[in-house]
Amino acid sequence: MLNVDNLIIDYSTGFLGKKSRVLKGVNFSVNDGEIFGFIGPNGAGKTTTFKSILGFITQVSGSISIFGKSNSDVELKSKIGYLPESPYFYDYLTGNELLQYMAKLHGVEQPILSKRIEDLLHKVGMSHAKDVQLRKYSKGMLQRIGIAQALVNDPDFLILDEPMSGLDPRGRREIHELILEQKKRGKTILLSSHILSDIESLCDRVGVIINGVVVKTGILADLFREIKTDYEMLLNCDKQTLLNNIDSNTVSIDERAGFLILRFDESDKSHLLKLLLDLNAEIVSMYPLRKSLEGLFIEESEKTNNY
Amino acid sequence: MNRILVIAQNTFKEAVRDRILYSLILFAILMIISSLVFSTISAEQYNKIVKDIGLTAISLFGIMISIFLGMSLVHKEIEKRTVFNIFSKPVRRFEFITGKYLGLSFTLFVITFAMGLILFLIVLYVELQHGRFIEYYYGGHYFLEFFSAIYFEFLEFIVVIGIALIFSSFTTPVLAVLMTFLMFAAGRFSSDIKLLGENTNNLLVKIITEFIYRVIPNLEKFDLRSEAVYGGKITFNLIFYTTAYSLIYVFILLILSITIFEKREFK
Repeated sequence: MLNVDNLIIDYSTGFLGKKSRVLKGVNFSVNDGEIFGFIGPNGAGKTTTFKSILGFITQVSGSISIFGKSNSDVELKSKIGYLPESPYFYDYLTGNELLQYMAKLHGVEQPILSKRIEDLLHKVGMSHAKDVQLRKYSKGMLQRIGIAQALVNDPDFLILDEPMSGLDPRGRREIHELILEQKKRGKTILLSSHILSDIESLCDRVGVIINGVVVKTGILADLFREIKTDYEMLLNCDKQTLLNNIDSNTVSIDERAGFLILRFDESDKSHLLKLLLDLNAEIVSMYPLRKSLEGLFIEESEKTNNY
Repeated sequence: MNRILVIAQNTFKEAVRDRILYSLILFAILMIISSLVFSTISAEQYNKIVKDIGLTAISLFGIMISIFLGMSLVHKEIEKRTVFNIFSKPVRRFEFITGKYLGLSFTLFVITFAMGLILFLIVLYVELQHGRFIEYYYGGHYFLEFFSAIYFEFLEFIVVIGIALIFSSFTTPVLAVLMTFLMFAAGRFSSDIKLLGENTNNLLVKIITEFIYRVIPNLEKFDLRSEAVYGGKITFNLIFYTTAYSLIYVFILLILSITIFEKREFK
């Protein structure tokens, strides 16, 4: 459905227009009816990729096709809904007026217009503030109205740039459900995030972009399987005894609230557990550390430093 | 076409809800009222001062609104990133520029004729008070000339908005104001610039003044203030040709703005 092929983008900076390469050959595709998560650290090129898909920026080379057509076709946009990153809207309009304006640009006419806007306002939980000017909206409210305006044409393809940003936990859950509902209705969704928890329970597939290159695509669980797991252990034991017996290069030891805290990775686990049993140390708790997106980013960054 | 009108409508809505606009209108009204105070000098000067100060005030505020709202017309949308919302919809760039232009022009239409109407009511009041003097000193009331003068001022404003729009499409607001103001000033002193070229021996100055005279719209054509006060021949031809002159310039300025804006990237 969406194909991004070897996309290269340069930004010119400074007075002399010195060029810096922001996207260095981005390749990925989104299949019909799936939720594709685009993840990467800040400044990796997520938003630039989205802007390029929508034709806001012209590429140095590469091609983008949506529904089998080149993205330069303006009429394609009648099938697309887009939520910009930290959306900003006309602050002199009310929520209702903004949605009316955006719907009219899509050519949505009455009586469908009023009914759809009413439904959308209800869906994003903004019915109560529909007649309030946007200048009085909080960040979370702007995000909600932003999602509503992205849905105003009942699009087949949704592009959401950081849809969860600025939302409280309840808001996140609601938007989460709303995105899943769109998928159930057969829509295709491309969303970006730098927060793992937003992505993992939503996306069918993800693409990891680092430093302007998509380094991995696939199912999230598969990606994380490749990363080493760290463990943290809370221990009641004499520190000196422990120090005499373990290799402090692979196991880190801290003290907190009278306990020792050990950190080690998978390869040291069995060896360390055996040792602690021999020392008769009291293991208070042990749990795998959350495999973080940062961990993945750092690992991939190290691998892709040569790019 | 529909999308152009939707964008125009929103531009008008923005201008109307802009508080700066209200303060300018208020100031214009105050200027007109103050003209009443000035005119206590002598009865026969009354009519002249009211019309002259009033029309000048309308011109001044119309130009200010045209330049200041014109320069932010496109720049503000890019700066505040609202272009992302617009161009993620099936909107072509020429539709956006044309819509923005028409929206602001319509705003100026409403403002100009609202101020004109207020001024007319004041003039009418003066005429009723001093009807005999005015007939005697000026030989008539010249209402047609008065309204033509306001209409011509509006024609000038839409040219100035066009100039501001071009600069708004590719420079910063400060530069856009400066450049628009320079072009406006050159347009207002068109005949002086031509005269300067004719009286100089410096070839470079001759070329530059000739270029400015030919390229920059001659805004003096839109000044009918003396006709509104002292009377003058307002023919259908004058109205037709001045309207055409203004619209042709607007058309060219719009094409230029669109050409510049087509190449613009939104990062």
